[in-house]
This record gives sequence, structure tokens and C-alpha cells, in this order.
Amino acid sequence: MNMFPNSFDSAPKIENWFSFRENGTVRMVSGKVEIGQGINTAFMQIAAEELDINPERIELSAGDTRDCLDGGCTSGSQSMQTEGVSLRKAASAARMLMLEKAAELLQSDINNIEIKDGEFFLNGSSTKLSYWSLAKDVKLDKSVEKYMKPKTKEQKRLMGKSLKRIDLHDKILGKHKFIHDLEFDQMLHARVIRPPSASSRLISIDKEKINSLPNIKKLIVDGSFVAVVSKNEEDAVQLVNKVNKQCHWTQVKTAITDPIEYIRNTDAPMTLSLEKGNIETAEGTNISTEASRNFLCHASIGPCCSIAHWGDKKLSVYTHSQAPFPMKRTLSAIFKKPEDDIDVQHYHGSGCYGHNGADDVVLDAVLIAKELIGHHVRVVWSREDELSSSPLAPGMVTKIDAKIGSKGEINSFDVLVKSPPHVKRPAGKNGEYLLAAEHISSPITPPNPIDTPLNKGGAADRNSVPLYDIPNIRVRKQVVYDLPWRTSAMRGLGAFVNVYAIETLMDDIALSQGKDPLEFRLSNLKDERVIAVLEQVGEISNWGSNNPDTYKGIAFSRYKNIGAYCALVAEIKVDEEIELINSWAVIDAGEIVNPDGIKNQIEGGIIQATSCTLIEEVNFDQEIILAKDWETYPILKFNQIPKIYVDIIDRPEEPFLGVGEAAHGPTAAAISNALMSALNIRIKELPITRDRIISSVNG
Amino acid sequence: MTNKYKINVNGIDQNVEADENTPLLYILRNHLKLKGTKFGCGDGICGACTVIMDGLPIFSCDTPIWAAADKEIETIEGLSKNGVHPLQEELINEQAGQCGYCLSGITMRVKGLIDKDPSKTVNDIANELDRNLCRCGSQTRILKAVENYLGKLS
Repeated sequence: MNMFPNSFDSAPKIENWFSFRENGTVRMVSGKVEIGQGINTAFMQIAAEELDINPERIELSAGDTRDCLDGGCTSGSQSMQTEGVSLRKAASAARMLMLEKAAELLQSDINNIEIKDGEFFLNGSSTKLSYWSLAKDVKLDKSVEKYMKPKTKEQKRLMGKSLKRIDLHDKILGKHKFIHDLEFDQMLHARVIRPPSASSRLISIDKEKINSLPNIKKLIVDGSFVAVVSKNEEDAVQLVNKVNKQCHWTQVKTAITDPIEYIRNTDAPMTLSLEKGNIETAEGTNISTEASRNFLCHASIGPCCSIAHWGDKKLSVYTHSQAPFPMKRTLSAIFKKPEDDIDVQHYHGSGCYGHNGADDVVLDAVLIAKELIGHHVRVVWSREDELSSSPLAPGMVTKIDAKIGSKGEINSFDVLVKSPPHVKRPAGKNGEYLLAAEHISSPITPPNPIDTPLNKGGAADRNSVPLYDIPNIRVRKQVVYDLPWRTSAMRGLGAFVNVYAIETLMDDIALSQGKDPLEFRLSNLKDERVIAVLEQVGEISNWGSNNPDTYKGIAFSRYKNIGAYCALVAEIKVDEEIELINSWAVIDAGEIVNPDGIKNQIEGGIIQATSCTLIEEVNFDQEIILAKDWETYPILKFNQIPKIYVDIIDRPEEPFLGVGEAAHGPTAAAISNALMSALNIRIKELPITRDRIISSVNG
Repeated sequence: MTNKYKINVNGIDQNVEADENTPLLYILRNHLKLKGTKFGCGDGICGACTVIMDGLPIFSCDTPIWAAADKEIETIEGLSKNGVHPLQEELINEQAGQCGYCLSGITMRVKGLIDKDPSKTVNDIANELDRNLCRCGSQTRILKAVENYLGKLS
């Protein structure tokens, strides 16, 4: 299934995007959903620009399958680059169609008519015509591609303005209705009792004992899928432990004691991702690295939640999934129910950083609702589920061998990426990859997913190709399918470790030649946009001068090699543990819609990446995931947060570039490079914990 | 055991009937329909459920209703009862949030801490917020808003 469909395949007409109302509002449809990144604010800003209206007139419907517009999956930092561009065209088409009607009524040339906040002015005078007065008479059933005429750079007024997020006001006041806050009459509350590890299954369950427990409305057992339903949420929560005591599960032993070592030694088939020049004939001194990262949790603050209602005909689902339309097709496949009989509506959830359990909890809710026809059934995951039942971000290992010529030139980079799969999103065809789908009595066996090829952004090998001027490059990957844990996409996918490997190796090469890491990078680059962000981050961070006891490191990447450019300097203090003091970033995201929105994403990316770099890793006991609460899976705290400075280079002539994942790899590498500068040690295994620093210094 | 309890929430006396061990969080969200307070972990670690009880920030997820009986509770809804609270104004000005899920708990802890001791610095607050987590990484903006708020108080 295409996760990034062309918007005009499902929504070719203007009416699929906009409708004008006589009360002076505009209904706008978005296929992309708010997951904490502020996309819907940027989209409204784009539409308001093209329509020449106050953005407050827009009423948004996003991620609702009752609308036509299939936005696929809101992921991969793709929203601006794909639907954002289509939306601009659709809004311009709406404007042109309305202008055409106004010109006809006014018997004037379109060029003499100006629109101010939806009102039409002819040669500067009011005409009493507006989008609202024409709403009844103009049919919007025309092709976007026939009417579209986006504004020129000179005509734009709203681009580059930091409009406030449309949703934050109510979120700050505690008034926003998150998915967790929805209520329906007679709504029932359910909780799922999970097998203790990925491949353990139910041996027996004492249903009689369970059904005699107080406050139980229904026990559902379908294979190894066990759920308990109650009228009250607090009772459902209380019942989980009591039900679990009556369940006996198979205990699964595994020989894997160190998953990263297992990945490092994999004999999985090796595939070639890219070959440039001839790696075999490249000559020079060998410098290499082998970077690795342990498995990570998504670790949203609010656990996954969904509400489902199985009616006489219709199945209605409320979700914070990134992919409402693909979810509808997936449910259709699992329950053999026509797509037309399924509605999926998106509501905001807690922050989403990739493929977490949002899709899984939908299947939980639907499986339960099917047994309680006519009731809304609400499922909320526990903290333990959120950490240990969501797909994990895979641990991975990236090895690079570089050959350096006699003049210090980089002759070759030979990259080998080893990783469990990064993309196991429900694909619709058979309903595979959803957690409960593997537990029900007729389980849906998940096939090995295809690791996205590099020409589509890559997955394990994302950002494995250095942008430096290197004549011979080879990238190979081994996708490790035989680990027991569910792994899928988390912010950056393979880019996090691949950028870490490339950018720490670049520093190692520079230092081996006694060169300044920034100067060395610049001397190996041709792309002017890369050079610009690096030079500017050098300037704003006062690169080259250190305060007493602080050390700086630099790193760069362009996300997926086709997305936003991010150059970053980290300044640390180190005394057994690293303390990140300052972080400077310079971003080039093409044409800027909302500068503060970009800054917010980069700041958040830097903080989250710092947490992943210094603290986060999943520990295992055999097959059991030990991340169960915030003590077994800690994240960065308020008193560990650096000061952050973000500069943006605006390029109004260039296409939008998504920024959501741009800062992750550079943050990790810049911190590591600062540590190199401080203690002359290179930690290759992430996270860079106190223990690893001490053993590296002593070793 | 189900009992009757009286609690004062945002200045209004409320009578609730619940099992004595029911967490205050569920009383607020499900009995009183005050959905601004969030569930995060149920263990009293992440702080998403923070409310103010008799002047002190507490975790409502691990405070049973019996322990909240006859106490004064302030929730995020109480903060903006008479318009937007100045702390919230600063949060809005700084656009201090991404998903916004953690904000209610953080706001209540900051408000409780500063009400109790207005001489606190932004560093004090950052240290005392170590039991409120934010995963999206809005901490710099939240602390900037706190700093602005403290500046206006003094």
C-alpha cells in the first residue's frame, strides 16, 4: 500500500478540499493529521495565503475517512512536501474559480479584482461579493489541476509569519478534547491482558473464576487475546491484575543474551543499496567505525487509546493513528467488512514519534466492540503496554570503512548497515503487523516486511550515503528478521545511527589529519546549501572558541538526503556524565511557512535526540522487554535540558522540506564529537552512558 | 468499599460515591468530567496527572479518594475559571508545547510551587519539575514561559 498517495488520486476536485459557507467560514479538509508537530497550523496558513482570508475563518476536518482526501500516513517528514504542495494548488484553484465567477458578475477582468479576507474588491472598491455570498452559486466540483494557479513569491503575505498553533491555546488551557477525553453514552471501558513476551501464548484461563469477579461486564478470550470489560474505567484497571492471575502463559526462552551483538554477527542476506565509482579499486589508509544503538521505546506521555463502536451495519473507530485511511483498509481486511461500512476518525493523541501502538489499540478496541454490539468500547493502554507492547525502534549497527589518500582526500566510504526492520506498518492487505492480529485464534502471520529501498528514502539504510564529495561509495544492508521483538519506524529510522556513524567518522578523519572538523567538512563539500548551514552554525556558535571546561562538537545531515538540511553544534561539560549545555542549529527547509513551527520541531528534536543519545535503551531478560515504567525506561528531565538556538535560512523560491526528523542524527553525532574534543574518547555504542564513558577512559 | 466523600474542586463542593481506593484522577475525569487532568503512568512518576491539593502539587493517579476527602483540589480547569491565568498566558506567548498532553500537569506543578514560594527561580522550578516528563521536548519553551511569569510577579 502506498503510504504517500498523490492527494489528487482521491481528491481531484476543489470540493474535496474546501467548501465556503454563507456564514463566512471555510471548511477545509486535511488528509494529514496532527501528531504534535503542528502540521495543521502550517496547512491552514498555506490555505489562508492562497485564499486571502483570515486563517481563523477556517474550520478543519483532518484524518476523517468520511472525507475523500486520503492522506495515507502522516510520517517521514513528508506532509509539507506532498500534501502541503497539493493543498496550495487546491486553495489556489478555489480562489481562481471564485474569481472567475466574480469577474463574470462584475463584467470585469480577473486581474482587476482583489480579495481581502474573502471579500472581493474591484479596482479598490467594495463589490459586496465574497466567497460567502458566492458560496451558493459556485459549484466547486471542478478539477483542482485545471484551475490551480498558486501565488507568485511577490504576491505572498502570510508565508514566513509565525502564526500561533491553532490547537495549543486550548491544550494549554486544558480544554482540548484528546482522544482520551471522548465520552459516549453507555461507553464501556476495556483493558487487554498481554502475553508476557512476544512469542508466549495462552495455555489456560479460568473463565469461571474471572466471571465471578465483581464489576466485570465481559471477559473476552480469542486465542491468546484476553480482554476485560467494565462499566467504569477504574474497575477495568483493577480487573487487569486479577484476570492475569487466572491466565497461564507459555514461557519462552531465547538464546539471545545481547541483541546488539546478535545483530552485529548476523548472517542475514546482504543487499546492495547503492554503488558509486568502484570501491574495490579505491586506495589509501583505512579509517573505520562501527556505530551501534540499542533498541528504543516511543515512550509517549499519554498511552495509546482508541474507541470503537460496532453498530448494526457500521463500524466507527476513533483513533490517534498516523494513518486513518490505511487503518480503514486494514480493518476491512481483518473483519471481511466492506470499506464503505467503516468510518475512521482521527483525534489528537499524546505526542507521536513514529509507528507506536496507536494502530494496535484500534484492533484491540474493535475486537472487543465486535462482542458488544451497539456499545462504544474505549481501550487505554497501561504505562507498561505503552513501553513494552508498542513496536520498538530497532537496535542497529552501522560499519563504515573509509580509505584516505596521501593528500588527506577521502577516496571511499564502504557502508554496511545491519538492522531489524524499521517499517512494519499495517499494510491493509491481510491486516498483518497489528499486535492482537498475532494473538487471536486465527492469527494473521506477519510476513517479513520489505525494507524501504534507498530511492524511496530508505529505512535501515536511510541517510547511509554521505553527501561529502567522495568518488567511491558503496552501501550494503542486512535486514535482521529473526529477532522476536516487533520493531518499526521511530523518528529518523536508520538515519539516527547512520548519521552518527558518518559524522563521527568525519571528525575522526579530520582529527587524524590535525584538521578542524568544520573546515574539513567544508573542504569536502560542493553543495552550497550544505555549506551555507555549516558556515552559519559555525558563526552563531562561535566555533573555534571554547569556554573553560566546555567542549564543542559539530555535525550535519540532510534528512533522507532529500529533506531539510540541519547543521548542529553541541557544547558539553563532562565529568563522568555528559551535560549538554548549549545547542545551536541552522536549518534550511526550503520555503518557510511558519518559522516558529520549524523552531519548535527542531528544539523538540534536539531534546528528544539528546535523551536517546545519553540515556535511553531497552533492556531485555531473554525475550521479556524490561522497559515497563519510567524508572526502567527513563528519559531526559527538565533539569537536563540544554539552551537551544535555532536559525533558519529562508529560501522562498525552493520547495518545502519537512523538518520533523532533521535534528536527530546530527544531535547524537555532535554530542559524541564534543566528547571526543573533551576526553579524546570515541564512544561508538549508543547511548553514551556514564558507564561507557568510564570504561572507555579506563580502557 | 464504596463510600461517600466530599471534596472541594476549584472552589465547588462535590459529593462523590466511590470505592475508597479509587484514584483521585478517575474521580476528576470520570465522575466530575474534568478531563483536563491526564493519565500518564498510574505510578506517580510522569506528572501528567498533577493537581494541587491543599496548596501542594500532588499526583492524582496515586492519591486515593479517601486521602483527598474534605481537601481543596485545584485542577487546570480552575486555573482559567476567570479568564486565562497569567502563567498560561506566558505559555501561550512562548507556544510552549507540541502535543500538549503533559502541559496540564506541568502547569499545575509550576503554579503550586510558585504560589507557595514566589521567590523561587527558574532553576529551582526546573529541578522540582523532575517528576514531570515531556517527551516532545518543549522544556526550553516551558521554562522560558516560567521565567517570564516569575519576572512579572516580582
